Amino acid sequence: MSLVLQLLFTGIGIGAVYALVALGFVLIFRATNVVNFAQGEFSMVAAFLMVLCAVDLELPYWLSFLIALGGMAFLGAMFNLGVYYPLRHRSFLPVIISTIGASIFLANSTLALYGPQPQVLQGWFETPGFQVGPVYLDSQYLLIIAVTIVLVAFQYWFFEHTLLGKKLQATSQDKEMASLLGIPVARMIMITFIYSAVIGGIAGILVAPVLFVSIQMGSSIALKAFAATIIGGFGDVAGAIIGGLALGIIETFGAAYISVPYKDGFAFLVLVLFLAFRPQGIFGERVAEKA
Amino acid sequence: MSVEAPIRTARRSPSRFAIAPAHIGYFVLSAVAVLLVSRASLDGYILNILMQAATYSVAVFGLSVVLGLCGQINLAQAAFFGIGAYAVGLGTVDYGLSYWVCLVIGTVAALLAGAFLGMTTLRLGGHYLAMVTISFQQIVTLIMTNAVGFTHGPDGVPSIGRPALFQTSQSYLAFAVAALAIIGYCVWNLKDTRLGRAMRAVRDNELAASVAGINVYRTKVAAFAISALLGGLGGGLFAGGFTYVSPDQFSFAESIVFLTMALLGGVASPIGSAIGTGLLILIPEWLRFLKSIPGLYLAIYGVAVILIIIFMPDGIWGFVTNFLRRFIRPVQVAAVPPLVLAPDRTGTETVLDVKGLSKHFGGLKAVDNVDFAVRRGGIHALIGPNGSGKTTTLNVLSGLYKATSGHVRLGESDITNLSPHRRTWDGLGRTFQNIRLFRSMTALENVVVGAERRGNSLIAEGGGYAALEERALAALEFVGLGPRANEPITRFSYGHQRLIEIARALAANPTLLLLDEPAAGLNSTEKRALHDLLERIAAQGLTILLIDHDMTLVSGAAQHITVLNFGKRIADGESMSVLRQPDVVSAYLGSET
Amino acid sequence: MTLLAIKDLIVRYGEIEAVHGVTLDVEEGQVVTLLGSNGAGKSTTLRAISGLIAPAAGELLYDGKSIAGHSPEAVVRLGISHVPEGRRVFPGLSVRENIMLGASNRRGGAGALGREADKMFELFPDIRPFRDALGWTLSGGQQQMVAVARGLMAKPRLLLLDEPSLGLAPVIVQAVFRIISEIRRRGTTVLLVEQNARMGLSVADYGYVLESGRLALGGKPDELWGNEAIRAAYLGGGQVAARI
Repeated sequence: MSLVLQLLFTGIGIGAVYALVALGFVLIFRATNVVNFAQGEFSMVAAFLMVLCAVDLELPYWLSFLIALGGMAFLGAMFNLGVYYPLRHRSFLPVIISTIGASIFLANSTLALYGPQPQVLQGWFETPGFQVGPVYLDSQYLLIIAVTIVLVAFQYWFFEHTLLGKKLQATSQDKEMASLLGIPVARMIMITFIYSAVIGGIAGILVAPVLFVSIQMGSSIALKAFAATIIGGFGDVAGAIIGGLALGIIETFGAAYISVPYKDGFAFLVLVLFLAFRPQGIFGERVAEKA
Repeated sequence: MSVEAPIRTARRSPSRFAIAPAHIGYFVLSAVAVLLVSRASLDGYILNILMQAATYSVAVFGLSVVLGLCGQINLAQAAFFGIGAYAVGLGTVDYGLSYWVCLVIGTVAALLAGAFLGMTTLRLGGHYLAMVTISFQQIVTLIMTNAVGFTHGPDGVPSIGRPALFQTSQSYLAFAVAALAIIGYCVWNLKDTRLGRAMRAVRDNELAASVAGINVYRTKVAAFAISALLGGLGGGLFAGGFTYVSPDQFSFAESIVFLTMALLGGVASPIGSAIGTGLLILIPEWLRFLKSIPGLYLAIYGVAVILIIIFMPDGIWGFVTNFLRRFIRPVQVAAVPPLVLAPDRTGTETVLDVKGLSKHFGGLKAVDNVDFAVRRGGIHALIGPNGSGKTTTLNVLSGLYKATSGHVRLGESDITNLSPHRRTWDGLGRTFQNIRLFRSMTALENVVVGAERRGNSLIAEGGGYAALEERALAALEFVGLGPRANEPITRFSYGHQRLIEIARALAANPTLLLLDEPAAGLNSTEKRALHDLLERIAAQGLTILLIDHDMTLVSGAAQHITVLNFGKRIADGESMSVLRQPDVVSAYLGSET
Repeated sequence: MTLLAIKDLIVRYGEIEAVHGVTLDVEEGQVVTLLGSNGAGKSTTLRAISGLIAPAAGELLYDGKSIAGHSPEAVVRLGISHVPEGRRVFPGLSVRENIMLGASNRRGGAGALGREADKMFELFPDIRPFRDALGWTLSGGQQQMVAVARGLMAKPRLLLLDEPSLGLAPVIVQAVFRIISEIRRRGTTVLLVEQNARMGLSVADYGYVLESGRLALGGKPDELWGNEAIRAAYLGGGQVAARI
């Protein structure tokens, strides 16, 4: 029993990371109809920026965090201008290929700059964790869960209770109508890309102390985030979060009870199964999406 | 419009710009290349480069089929390549099988994997296909790395066997080049086969392809399977060439390398594939310093993909052919007998019987319990103001929407639940309001696609391409565009494109022709010509169901009119009397309520 | 004074010329109706005015200055609000939020805009009970009211209304047209596109009839309605006569 609780805790922790990345994914998709294959690389680059600032340059942790987020905002903006904007009127295939190219570029330039050795990033807290009854609560996992709750709450508040959030929603629901009302559509899309890059970055920074910081972490996280959005129902924000948590739990239990080296395979297996039997995900297509 | 007598030329296929001489030339060149490779003194380094180029090209040919011809994405080509390679590796080393047997096993295994993958996800397409292929790629890599008992894990498989005939590296290379030449020839000819045309049609316009009688799903699966087969074949050749395989040679990065090679050279043609592969193998060799920093050359690949997609989406070879196309004169057309329209069924008096047809979208009743019958011969019009449900009705009739309730009979068969291409096989033809032609093809090819629909009784059995071409030319003659048959679609005006679409439908020899707003976007001269064309079609006995807003055309051409408003039928009868009915007039002009 | 002057307007979609040289004027304070059957070029004309498509040739003068080729965001800031065909209420936002976003052409905090939106319900009392309902749950008539209210939030001098009666039951159409009369009474100029000629002319000060992208008729409502040519423009006959 205590093992089950432990696995549950870990599963939720890692699931929260997937949920954050999936969130960034879904936001870009709803605003631009683009599936961003480089979403995982946003997490990876942010983790490396943290390593650069906190480990190599030995800057204070909080300062490194801010610099990394600033870097991610810049990267999101550049991504919008260089990868999405020139292709915004073309069909989806060139855009998919373009984001794949960007993902390869980001992963390999980081490799070229840093070398293939995985890096180590310390957690935020000094104490590694504490025992609560039969379960050991790792402090970094607690941080991940706490930050995710805060971010999701922030996102809910931002989109549901601010004017800018409403304008962003309007842009993703009907771009042309939004422009007729005077909403600056290009600016809204830019904000969406920057926001997605930043939360992707936060996810990467949160998970970095738990895994190694490696070049491959980006693509593996991205595919799991994608699996999460499929499980929850593609394009659905709440679905992405729930799907992420579900996937984290499935994966953790699978690794413990079935096999460790194939841990990453669970996400893919779940993905293929859902696509084969229930492509609309758990929540199906929300009617709000139908114009 | 006047029809010039077409210029008589020797009876040959006019649709190929270059014919027999090119094919002979190809084989001569290939033979020369093979000879050179087997005789010349090449050092080990050059040998390796050529070996890699030859085997990679086969895999990239696969991408030119699935992505270039059919427009579907495949990001797992390295996995299929790896399946073929490991089949040869493990088969010869662990199981002592002969090279040839292993090559076949590997190719078939890749083919089956590709077919299975395609069958499960091609209905979803797009992003889903991309994600599933990446997932499949990752699973294959995981298995290669971790199933150590079976695959030797990260250590890989050394000392792979070669066929007895080609034990030396040089002789094996000659074999690989010969294989490449033969495979290349097959891929090059694929685009002119029936399947190849179907793939191109699906890529250009899926909806039009299905309405022209093509089973879109099966075509996509076939393209995907062929791509996997070529991947596996290339991998098998690769394993024999390098005699060592390991998991890191077949990772997702390699799939991206294949994709970049295909895009750079030009995805649509195997020539482009060869160019792209050659360049991307040679360039890093010349710029060897790029490989000294890990990640640098792949990072450049990443940027290259983005730049190619933005600025040169047709690749190098695509750029060249687009440029040359301006100078090449289309081949002249031969004379053909005039078009015969013999609608298949001569049984029932009613060609189309619609009973109780409804289509609801959630709470909206777009079509509400509509009945009408179209009698054989002549022109029947379906009209109604904007939002009346006539376009929805047309889409239900052609199978693009599923009816909520009701029945549709075409002649004697109930077509209510048939998919669009099956309805075409039963004799339904249709055109689209916003013209759906296959933009990469010539007018003739477009019409040939229509002619080759299954069940077209006017195409002689075993007549081959010549029979199809003859029928297509006759259809184009009928609409007045015969002499321009070999010109690409993009050179035709909007009005002419509409005529080509009608010719495509006629070439299929339908029993009932559905015309969706054929007058839309035409000027008054073109509309008069359209009216004449419709009368000539009707004179041959083909029944037409016409939807249009242009009342002049409708009242002039149609004998019988059915009127819809708010999804319901409000009038049905002889044209002139229907148009005078007060509720029809008020449906259009509005009423004081 | 002439608020909007269009001269020899030509608009193309790729190769198709949808509008071939249309000339018309809209006087300030009037309701002008553009009539014609489907495909006549009415919606295309509105789209050229609001900036969704750039004209190929011709003059588009608003208050004396050219607005041809301006972006939609720029046009709405100048005081021209376009309520497009098909209503296009944002499905995932509430009625109140939809209306508030109508003021996106000017500055304003959520609080102030919320209060202005609430005032809008005085003109549209039928949708007040649905303030917090999401867009996709509304009926066609309710969506039309939301769309018009949203258009009015931009405080336009010129309101472009595209086929407000499309797909609506006759009773609802009457309600919508009563609102159009009220809008005009309050001083906003309206350019109304309608397929329903009778309703369109019932509320207009002036009318134009388009046919196949060209201007066929122009005149006061009574003149137009009595003219046989209007029937021909909708139900055919005009071109047949020309052929003989």
